[in-house]
Amino acid sequence: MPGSARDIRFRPPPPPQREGVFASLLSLVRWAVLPFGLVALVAVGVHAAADTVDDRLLLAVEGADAWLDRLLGTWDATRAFVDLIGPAERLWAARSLTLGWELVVDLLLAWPVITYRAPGSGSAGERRRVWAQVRARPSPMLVLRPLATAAVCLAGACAVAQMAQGTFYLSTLDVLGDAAGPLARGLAVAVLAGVLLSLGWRAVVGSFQDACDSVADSPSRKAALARGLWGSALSVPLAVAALLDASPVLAFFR
Amino acid sequence: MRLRDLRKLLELTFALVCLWAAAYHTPAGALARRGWAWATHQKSSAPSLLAFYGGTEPEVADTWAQAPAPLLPPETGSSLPPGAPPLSERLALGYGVHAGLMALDAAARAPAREVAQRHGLSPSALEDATQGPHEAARLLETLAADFPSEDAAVVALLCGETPARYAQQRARAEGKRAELDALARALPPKFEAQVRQAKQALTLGTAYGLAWPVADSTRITSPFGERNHPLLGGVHLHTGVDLSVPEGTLVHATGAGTVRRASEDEVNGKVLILDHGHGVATAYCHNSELQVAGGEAVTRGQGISLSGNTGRSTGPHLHYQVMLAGRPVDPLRFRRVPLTADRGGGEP
Repeated sequence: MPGSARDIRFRPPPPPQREGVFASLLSLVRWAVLPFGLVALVAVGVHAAADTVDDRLLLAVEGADAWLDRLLGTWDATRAFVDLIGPAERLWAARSLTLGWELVVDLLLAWPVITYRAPGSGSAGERRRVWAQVRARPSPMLVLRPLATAAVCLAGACAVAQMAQGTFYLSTLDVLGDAAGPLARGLAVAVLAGVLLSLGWRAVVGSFQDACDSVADSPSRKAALARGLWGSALSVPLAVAALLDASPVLAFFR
Repeated sequence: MRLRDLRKLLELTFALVCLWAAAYHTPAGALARRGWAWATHQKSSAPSLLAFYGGTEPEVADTWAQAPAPLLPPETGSSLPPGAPPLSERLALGYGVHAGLMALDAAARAPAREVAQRHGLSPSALEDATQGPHEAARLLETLAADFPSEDAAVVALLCGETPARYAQQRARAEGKRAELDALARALPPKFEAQVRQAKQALTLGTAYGLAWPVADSTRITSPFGERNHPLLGGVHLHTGVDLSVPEGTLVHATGAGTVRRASEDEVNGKVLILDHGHGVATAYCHNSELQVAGGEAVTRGQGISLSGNTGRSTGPHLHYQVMLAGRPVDPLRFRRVPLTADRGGGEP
């Protein structure tokens, strides 16, 4: 589709030039592992966000059950149903809802990045074509989906950096002594930056590309506006939670 | 190595690090680990999918609910006023920690043994069925100087002081309280088993610290367990204990917490559910008046309602229920003073 975002869809790597065996092998392994790494980053970020909303979901389930109990308790015929949903079922429902929400958002945000291939040149011509398409078919999805992906990638990168920092510090403390702390912090910052620069931006671009493709398929301008609204409604709250509660970026500098 | 190859190598490394984190920090990762363990005929240490959201796994609470005997030794002595804890907070936690410790295999108990030794306590006494809870409580008291929050002290005892100190420092750097979730996030995956036991220890410790909602000497007209339901007929699980109190008796919060539910329906009457944290909640049903509202914070012993005869009830009483990880358990298992229970059909 000339003029659409498909033109700058991730392309396969350029044909190999004269590379050594190591470089060829490295390219191959990287090509195979990178999409999984992207999905893992998104999944870790989405889980970090979901982990902060589970208590609120339990409260919502509790409220809904109270309302249902009041309703079912009104009639003799339905009164027995009040006992059917006990605390165990409420907890199960709240946890299952959180898990379901997390998996759906995983799918919404990770699916576009799993088809990742090496990016195109990103020339001015390509950028102009994408911009023209965005103006022709504006849609909230084009902004919300990449932003949500960016937020969960940030939360994911923080979780990954935290894990690397803790593992490094506690494994090297005996050997490095006092130096282990600053080194672990440096490693965490490096991992945070490295993950965001090597994987995070690709996930965001992939998400934008997918949103562009999806909006381009809309039959009308109105349909484009409504495209992906349900998905955004599910992913944006988790993205906000990811930003507010699961991205302790400054903590790595303390 | 050329610069381009170095960049590729770094990208590959970061992708692998993300996969490693996903294996331990996502439900999908847990599923993959379980699959791998199944394929290689090994025992998986991955938690169940739903255990990622909240404290103790419900399956563990089930085992507590089914355990036949009380865990606390009975005590003969003067009765406690309503709202007074049966054990000191530290000893309650000591019981929880001891139970958590004993659930670990010998290798995973090594950090706790080391902590005990460092503080001049006998590691074997820590594992002793009778002395263990008291030794754990003593150790927790010693650790409190460095680890003011009970979550951090429990982590220090089960994971070791150095990891706990590090986790506590990271939680502070994030501007968070040193609660188990924040501490666990800072610890590497090798402490997974200990963190899980810390969760259980805190759940049990919180439950052991629960007071009684009315006077200690109040008669129990219907105990926890299977019974013939006086109104519905047939055998039903009675999920709490019925305490025979006249209408209008002040009901006290059995522990500090937050009101998770304050509602009314035709079955439970006016009902309160308090969330005490660490997966412990208590319910108070058939009240005539609720004195706290949803979302409100309550302290242990605070008057929260007046008992009554509302909902599906044949007479004035308080239905008191304790829930661990959502599972109703016998509240008497967390009472130190043995109470006489009528084993009849009792109040609904």
